[in-house]
Amino acid sequence: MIRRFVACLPMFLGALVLASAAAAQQAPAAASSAAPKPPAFADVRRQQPISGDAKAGAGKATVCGACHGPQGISIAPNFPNLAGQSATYLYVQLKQFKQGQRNDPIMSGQAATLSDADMRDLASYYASLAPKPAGPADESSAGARLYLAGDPARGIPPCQGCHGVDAMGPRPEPDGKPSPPWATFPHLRGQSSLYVGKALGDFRSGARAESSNARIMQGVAQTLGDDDIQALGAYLSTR
Amino acid sequence: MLTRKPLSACLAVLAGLACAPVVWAQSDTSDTQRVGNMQFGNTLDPTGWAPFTTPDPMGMSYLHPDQLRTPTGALYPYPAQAPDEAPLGKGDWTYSWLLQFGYIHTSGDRNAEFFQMYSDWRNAGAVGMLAFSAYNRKTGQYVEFRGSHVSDKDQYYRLRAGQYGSYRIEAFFRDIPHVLSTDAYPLWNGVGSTNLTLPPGITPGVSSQAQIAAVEAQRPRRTLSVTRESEGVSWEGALGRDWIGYGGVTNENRNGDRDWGGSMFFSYPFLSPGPGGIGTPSVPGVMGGQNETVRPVDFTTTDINLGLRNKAGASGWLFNFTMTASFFRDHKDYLDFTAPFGVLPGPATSITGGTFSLEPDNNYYNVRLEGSHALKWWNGQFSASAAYGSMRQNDTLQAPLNAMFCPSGQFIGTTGIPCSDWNTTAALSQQNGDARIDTGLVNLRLSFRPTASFNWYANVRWYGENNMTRYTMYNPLTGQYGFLHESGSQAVIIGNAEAGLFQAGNPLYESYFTQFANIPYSYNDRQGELGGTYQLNNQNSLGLTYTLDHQTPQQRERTYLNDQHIKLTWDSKSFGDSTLRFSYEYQKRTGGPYNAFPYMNWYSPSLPGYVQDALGVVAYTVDQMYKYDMSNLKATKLKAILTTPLGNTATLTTTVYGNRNHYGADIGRQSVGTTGADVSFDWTPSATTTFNSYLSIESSRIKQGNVADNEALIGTSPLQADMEFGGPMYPYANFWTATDTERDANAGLTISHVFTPRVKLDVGYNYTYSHGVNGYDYSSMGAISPSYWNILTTADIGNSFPANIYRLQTLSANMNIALTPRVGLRLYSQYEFGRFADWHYTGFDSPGDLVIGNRVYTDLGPQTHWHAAVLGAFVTLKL
Amino acid sequence: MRALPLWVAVVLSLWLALGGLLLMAPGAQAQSSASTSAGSPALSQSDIARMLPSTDMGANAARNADPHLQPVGDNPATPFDAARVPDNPLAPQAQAVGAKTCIACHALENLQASHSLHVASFRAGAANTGPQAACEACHGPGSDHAKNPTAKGSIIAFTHGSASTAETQTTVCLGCHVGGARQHWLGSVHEARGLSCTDCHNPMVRNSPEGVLAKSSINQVCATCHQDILVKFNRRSHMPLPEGQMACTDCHNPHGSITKPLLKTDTVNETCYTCHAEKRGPFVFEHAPVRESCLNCHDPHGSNQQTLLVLPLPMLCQQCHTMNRHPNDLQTRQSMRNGLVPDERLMGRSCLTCHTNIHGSNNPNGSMFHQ
Repeated sequence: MIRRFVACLPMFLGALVLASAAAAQQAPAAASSAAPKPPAFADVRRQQPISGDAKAGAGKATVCGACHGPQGISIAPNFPNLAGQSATYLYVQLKQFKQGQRNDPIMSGQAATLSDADMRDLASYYASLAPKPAGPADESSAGARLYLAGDPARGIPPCQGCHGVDAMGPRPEPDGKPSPPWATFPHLRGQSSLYVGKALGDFRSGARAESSNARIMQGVAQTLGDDDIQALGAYLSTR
Repeated sequence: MLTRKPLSACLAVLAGLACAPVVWAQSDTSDTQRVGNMQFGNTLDPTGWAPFTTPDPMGMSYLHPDQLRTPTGALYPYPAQAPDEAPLGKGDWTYSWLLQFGYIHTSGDRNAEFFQMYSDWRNAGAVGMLAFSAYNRKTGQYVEFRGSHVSDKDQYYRLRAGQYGSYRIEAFFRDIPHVLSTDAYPLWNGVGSTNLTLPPGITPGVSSQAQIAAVEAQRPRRTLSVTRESEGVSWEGALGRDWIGYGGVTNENRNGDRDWGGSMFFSYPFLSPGPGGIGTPSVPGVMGGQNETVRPVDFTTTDINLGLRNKAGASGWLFNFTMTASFFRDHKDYLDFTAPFGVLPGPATSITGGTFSLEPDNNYYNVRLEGSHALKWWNGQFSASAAYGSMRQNDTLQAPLNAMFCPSGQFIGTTGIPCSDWNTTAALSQQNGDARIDTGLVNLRLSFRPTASFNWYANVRWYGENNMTRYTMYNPLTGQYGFLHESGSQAVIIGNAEAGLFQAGNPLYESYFTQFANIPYSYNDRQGELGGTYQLNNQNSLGLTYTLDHQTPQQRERTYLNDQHIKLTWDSKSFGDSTLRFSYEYQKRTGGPYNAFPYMNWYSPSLPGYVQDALGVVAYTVDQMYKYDMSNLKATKLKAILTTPLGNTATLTTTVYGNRNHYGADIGRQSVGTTGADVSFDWTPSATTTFNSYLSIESSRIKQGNVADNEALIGTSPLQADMEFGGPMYPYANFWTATDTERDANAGLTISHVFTPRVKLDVGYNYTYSHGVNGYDYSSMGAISPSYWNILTTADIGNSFPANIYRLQTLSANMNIALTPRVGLRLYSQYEFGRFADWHYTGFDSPGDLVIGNRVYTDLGPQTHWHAAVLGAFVTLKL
Repeated sequence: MRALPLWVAVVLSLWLALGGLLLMAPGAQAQSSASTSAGSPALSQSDIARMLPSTDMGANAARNADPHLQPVGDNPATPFDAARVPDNPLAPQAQAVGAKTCIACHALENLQASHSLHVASFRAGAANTGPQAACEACHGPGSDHAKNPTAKGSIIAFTHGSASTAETQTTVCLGCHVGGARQHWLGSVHEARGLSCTDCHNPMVRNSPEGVLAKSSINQVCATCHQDILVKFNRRSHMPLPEGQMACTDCHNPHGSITKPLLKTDTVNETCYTCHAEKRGPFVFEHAPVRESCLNCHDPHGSNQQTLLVLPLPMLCQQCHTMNRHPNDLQTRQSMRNGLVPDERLMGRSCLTCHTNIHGSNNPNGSMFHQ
């Protein structure tokens, strides 16, 4: 019996060699066909709220202020306001710029040189700044309705579920269950119509889809028409 | 691509078959109300689904990484990666398939019984899985096929097709192997047939025990096994608005052979004269004969199941009607065997063999109608069920003696009883079994939920069994009642005094105590139950149930039994995230006066012409004996299951349980106790890794008492009739007890990891250990058979048997490697290492040991140590 | 034989080594992430076909409340029109929002669930309620949840910590799956102990060949709570359940029954007779405890004795058989084959060597089951 077993062994070894060889062949083949190498998918589902040194961040923020404003209120509507934004959101986005899941002619370059500590510090710094004061939003506008109630007839979920009733971020009731990485969800209040439009457009087109959060927004944005996006932008920028 | 046309054709046929134009009702299936064939798998893949269980590394949700839990708190496994699908033709059909084939190699002690028990491992090619599925997304029609082939005795194929919500048809074919012994050395030729004959070299009555042992030692080793092959078709679907019908037929063939018996009267009492000769330690007697033969199994069972239910209520009634008919056919319903030994020393007597009636053909019918209706008060529901069943059998009966072993013209031993009076069916009072048991069931239930936190119910159940079989052991040829024991061999040895016959007016037989008719055991069971649960708060719920079970057995030791149960349950979520389910039950059984021998109506003293012997009827049994199904009982049962979520990725489940039964009997079963605990820990740190482990321990103990009768009184003293425990016939000195103490430990571990999406490795280890000790205690040597008094000393007897042990360690590893998206490799290995000891087989070490005295055994028992390995290499091809 | 474990160890370690290599190879690791990343956004055609539609199909899950729509009965009804959106007592004001709204956020759930029977059913079969009802037909109207997803009870959740009671949960499922095997759910032990359908079923994925189970096989599901029973099947004698040939539900109906413990038939014995039909008889000569209950002698979940017996022979029989002469003698270790007085009442199959037809006999000489 043992002899037969031994006799069989080469067969199994052969199979193993075959398997490893095939596996080895597969990897380079896949890599070469996918040039340039696509960025790894950013799974932020396990992202914990970050901590950083806001003071140190202030020192590193000089360059950022050129666009995002010295107090995190951007100098032009095509740039997002960062003041009072969720630190974790900012950190995750910086990381994604650096790693390539997000692409932007300016930000990709800016983030490329940042260390992890830099990103944490910067994120903490901007989060510590006072957000842009609330505006005179029209709570009966189409944008407000979309934001607060969505439009079930068209499959549009209300934004407030994740972004907060006041657009200042989610305030979940803790329930001990697996929950979304709430801290990675941005505050939207006061962002310019232009920026909101760009973001939703990127989600809708799939240009921004390489993170677990982006996948959610991709699904949401696909329910939105151009008018809806405009209405939301108008509402949020004045909120 | 080539395959698509035939596939389309197949689908068209299936769709045409079912056509299902009626889509008014939304139909679902009700497999869990029908017995059997719910699981299709094999040892290679017990789930029957392994190739499709690679988890999707993406998980279930973009919103959160970990899996949610069941309401109780166990983690749901991550979703499996869905197989690729391709369009089938131009319509809305898509399909998918998978084929896994390869070679299985076994090594080591592959003949070990426990290694083969339900797995027909061979060195041969095998199909691990052949699966095909097709689905029409527009219409919801589907076809699913799954099959696996380890060997012709170990395989399954199952096809399901239908339309979601409308109907489902199913067809299956399967073979389940069951190996009963791999160490069988039957002495007889003709194993598997109905006639066992002696091999050349044996002359009954002439060949000595040593000569027969020598022949036995040369018999070839055989495996005894039964293969269960079954096939079935069924349909379940909508029959109109709210009506769902079911129809199914299964047919099952069981084929093979298994250990059987064959008694030619005792050997053990005939141990004299003692030292030097027979009766000297280890020198067996030369009387009687016990033959462990082999019987054929050749059964067919055909079941027809029909069902019709209404789900929305004809006038508010939720109806469920089911009908079952089952037809069992035994194609080999008798077994004849030639005895190697004469029942008395010396040349062969007239009784040269024995015969068996194997199970008769039988038919069974059951109809059940159930209905539930909502009530206006307290959110109530009324539910009623009624069933009627009938089991029937009318096989031709065999002649009392077989003309082959007791030919006409001969007489039984020295009794003067002519064989010809007993070797034809003319000696029977009736030619057919004409046996029938009817059953009835009525169950009524009222349940109410008066408030959201309180509900209660009342349930009444009646079940009755009526045995209508009547058979009298009466020989019209002789006018005698009773029967010739053990194919007539008892009469050969003991003579007319205990031939087994009663005959009024015949001095030889007029005082013989014997059963002369069958006893038609029947019973009725009335049960009332009142129960309710109360939700104390969001976390705690208490339940209380009281059950009174009133049984009225007929022709049994008690005329009625009252079983009362009180069950308390507590379900709690007040221990953090954990869920506790706790139950405690107390049971008390009492009943009418216990009559240790209620069977006199079926025994000869009830017949006219019975002449009471001056010594009286031998005490059949002892008055204080309580059969455990009839005795008083106080029982408690406790169980607690605590399911504890640990973080978001792990679960700890702890179970503690125990029961204590006290039967209040000295003679009979005295007590039963079981205590056990289980801990299982499941950890799924990510979609690609799972870790499961468990540890279980249990100890149990069954204690019984018994008392040997004072055999010296039988036939010599009127004291023989005394049934009292502590009396002269059943003296305290002959009292003995036996205790079975078993300890079980089980532990297991499985780790599953997907190294890349292309390599999945599963490693498992399982450990099973059981240790059983049968101890005994006795007041004096009077507890032992008198024929051993001169041979055994108390030191020889000791107080226990050697331990029974079953220990099995199994290590398994399974690796799936995806070489390309369509081609993969599966490597499978299972290694097991076992140890077994059972004192029933102690000393049966080689075939020559199978003959001991006039006893011939077939089975050496399961192998005591074994190592065996299975290795398999498979190629997996898929769409 | 001693060498065997060695060989097995060799093979196993080779496998593990190979596994380790694959794990360590950074290329392989990157490949892994890349492939998921490349694969997921570009859903396959069949995924898209299966999933709930991302186009609006006239979302009108609340149609039953809409007086402008034709009553359901006048339409070419489909099987799933019975699946109405259930009331959620904890969110009485909530409105149905339609599956499209749900899957906007729950995109991956949609993909996974599309491979389960339930979503496929809605996808295919419901003309009136439409695929749009697929989510809310079970979870109740979703508007409150969409606005505040973590508000307790805003939808009917079927998972641990759900604010919805087990009764609310099971009522949803029974809305369609009433009757048949579930005829006796109300008052069944699993109902009374607060179990929900989703303790055993997970209709959101296909992880089992059938029955939308919470684990990949019935037996694994049952063992979640009944581990003590499952391990008994590891014992020396058992029915072929660990070998994948049987399931707990071959005998038990976990959805409730009128025969304890959750048996499908009128009695214990009728369940056993389904597969062991030869024991059904009836026989001319019956053995009372056999006809009464197979459980008098057998433990169907496994035992340390032959043929599922609860005690070794002859002790098993001697619990009742205290009759005069041979049955009531104490059997000792000297009755074993290698003892001083080998005894047919103990060796091998013990009592059954002579009383072989112990389940009943049809032989005219069979009243003691000898023949």
